[in-house]
Amino acid sequence: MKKILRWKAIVPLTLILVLCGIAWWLYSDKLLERSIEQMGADLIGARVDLEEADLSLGEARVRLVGLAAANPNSPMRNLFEAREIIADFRVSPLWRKKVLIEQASIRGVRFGTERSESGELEDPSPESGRLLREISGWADRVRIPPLNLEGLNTVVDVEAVSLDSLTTVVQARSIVTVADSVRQGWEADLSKLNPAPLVDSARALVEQLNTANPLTLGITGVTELANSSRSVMSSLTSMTDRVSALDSTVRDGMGTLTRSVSGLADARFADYDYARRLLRLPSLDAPNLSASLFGDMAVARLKPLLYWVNQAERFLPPGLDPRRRAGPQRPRRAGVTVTFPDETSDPDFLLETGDADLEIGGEGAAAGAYAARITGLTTQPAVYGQPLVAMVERTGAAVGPTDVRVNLAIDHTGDVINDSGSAFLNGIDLPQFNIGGSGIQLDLGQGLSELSLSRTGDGIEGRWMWRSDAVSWTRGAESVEQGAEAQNVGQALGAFAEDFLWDTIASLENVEISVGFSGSATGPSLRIGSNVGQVVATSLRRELGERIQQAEQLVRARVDQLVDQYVGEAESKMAALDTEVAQVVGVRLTEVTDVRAELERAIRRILPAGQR
Amino acid sequence: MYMILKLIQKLIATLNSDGTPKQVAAGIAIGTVFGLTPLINLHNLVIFAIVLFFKITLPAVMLGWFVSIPLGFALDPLFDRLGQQLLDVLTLNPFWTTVTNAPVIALANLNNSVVLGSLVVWLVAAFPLYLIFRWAVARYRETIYARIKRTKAFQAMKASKVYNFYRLFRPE
Repeated sequence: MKKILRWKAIVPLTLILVLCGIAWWLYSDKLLERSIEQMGADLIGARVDLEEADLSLGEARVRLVGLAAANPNSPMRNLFEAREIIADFRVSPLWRKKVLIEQASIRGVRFGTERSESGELEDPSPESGRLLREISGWADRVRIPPLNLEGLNTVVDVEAVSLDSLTTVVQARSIVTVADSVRQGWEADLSKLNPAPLVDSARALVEQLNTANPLTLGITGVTELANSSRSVMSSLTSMTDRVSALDSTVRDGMGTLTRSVSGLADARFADYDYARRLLRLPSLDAPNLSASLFGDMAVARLKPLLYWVNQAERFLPPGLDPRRRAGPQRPRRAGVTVTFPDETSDPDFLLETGDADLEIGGEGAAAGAYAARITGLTTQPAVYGQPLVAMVERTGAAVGPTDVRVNLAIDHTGDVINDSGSAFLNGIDLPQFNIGGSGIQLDLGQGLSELSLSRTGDGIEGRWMWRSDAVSWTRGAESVEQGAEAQNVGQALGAFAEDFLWDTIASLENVEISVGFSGSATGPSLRIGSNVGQVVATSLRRELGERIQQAEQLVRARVDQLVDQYVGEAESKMAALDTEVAQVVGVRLTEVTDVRAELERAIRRILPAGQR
Repeated sequence: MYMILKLIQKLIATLNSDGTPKQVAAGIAIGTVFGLTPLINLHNLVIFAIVLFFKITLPAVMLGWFVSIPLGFALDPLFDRLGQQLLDVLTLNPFWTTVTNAPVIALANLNNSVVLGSLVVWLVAAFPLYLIFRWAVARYRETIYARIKRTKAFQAMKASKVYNFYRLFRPE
């Protein structure tokens, strides 16, 4: 033993362990600080700063001071700040690299505070970047009908509607081409099958069987006849199958074409809309007008909401499948770290209960104290087996009677996500923004903001409503909407439209805007409604209805004139094809089926049961 | 500076005369783990403790470490790919679930593709490396070192003051 063991090593090894202990004592706080900053940045996709971290393994407690998380959508603002966080954790799970926090208290939480430097990450994680791009892509794709009344002051130039820009024409041409190719296809297939010789030889055999006498044919003659009958019957069966298959393929193709022809009517309506937009004719529809007026504002507010709904899926993933994430940053390649959830063990991270005291200062109606509680926050909900539940309530109002209730339930314990949330915030400062790409600014003042949403799987549904009884309107203001594509009135809306809009809405004191959203969680469709839209629609109808209707009729007539010829061509092509198919393929199929039946009957009559 | 000179001297001595080729080769083969795999990891701490406790030639371990550092960086893409492939094998899922949730072993970062890939490569390559280094050290001593020893320059240097200075740092 003495020969292979180096007992003297105990001293340096002990020394190394002591040095490691000292290094831990000196640098564990810094290490924790850096880890939280890095993990937080990965989590939210923006910088997370921490002033101080104090880790005490003996007390099983960690204290974080001055935590500030930047807003990924607005890097010069913080998403939230917390003055102090104290968390009591369990020590033994640390041996299994698991962090189990029994209780956390968060003090001095503030939202939306300004930052002295940008919180944008130099090198954001690909996943958070992807999500931001996806949500921004959705925002860019949302079609907000432009509010432009200038078209009414100009001569309606229907020649601006060109043939090639109409969907109906494109679809009708495509139908004609497809119909031709379908016809050529089945003609080629049918000529390859060529059932006529087989039908003729089968008929000849039927005739031979009908006139044959078994007594004169003898055993050899009957056997030969039986063999040739079996062979022709087998060929006929195979031919029937092949002609049937061709018939059903052709009919499938015809079905698709028929649906395309029916779809031409929808395409024509889409072309009416397109042509109307091209001539800049305003819609008289209240929902369309509401979307024109508040679309930008709605998209700007829904973007962060959708971002966080999707982030919840990313960091609280459902199910027990292994999860991949980027490895730790180091001089060597980071690689990929794969987490394997173990349902018999603890989750990798769990906050059993967290309490937060929130305070909103100032003299606003929202000023006061709030209490928030969160339970079951975990990175592995399926392992923990309980949903995350969070709520915020007002505990003391500094000014005026207000009501604030926020409830959230995130259930990712099964394979399918099941989230629901609601927020009822009464008496808070509501947003101010420019409407309809104009220079008219609406300040909603103080009022009610109510949000409800639910998510099941990849589908999301919800409604966000703002209501105020004391709005104020300002004319000629620069855009205040960050991220929205609002511009000055002179450039986007025109003086005539602004005058009209201002006269219509400036006297309104009550405004209610509701944004319904449903569909995919990364790109839902929007339904925007507002009493302002209704007022503008009524006013437009009163003032301009007749002129718009006349212009619309001209537009429709122009579209009809352009597309009628092509639609007619497509319809007649389709009808001709239908007749041809019925005549040629149908007739061939009937011929083959009939002769097969005749042959069967003849065989039964002439041949004994054993030789059929 | 003194430490570095001493280390270089130890390396030269190890290669030329200290220990048998087997001991030197074993040391070099074990030392490559520190260069091939990411250094700050639990398995390296365990191997380091083994190196200290067992009579493994420390300068040889250091030599193996230094030689394999650039190799580790160069082969990282390969380690990453191999590690990912191993972690993606469906039939191994229960094994990885147990390993990555077991006390202490969970701290070994075996669920990281580079750590796993490099460790597996080292485990597979360690014995062949030992055989190669054993042959190489023996050949070096028989041919190159024997030839250098016979050169006039070497004899002159050995008789000079430089060699006396070198001897000051020579390990006991």
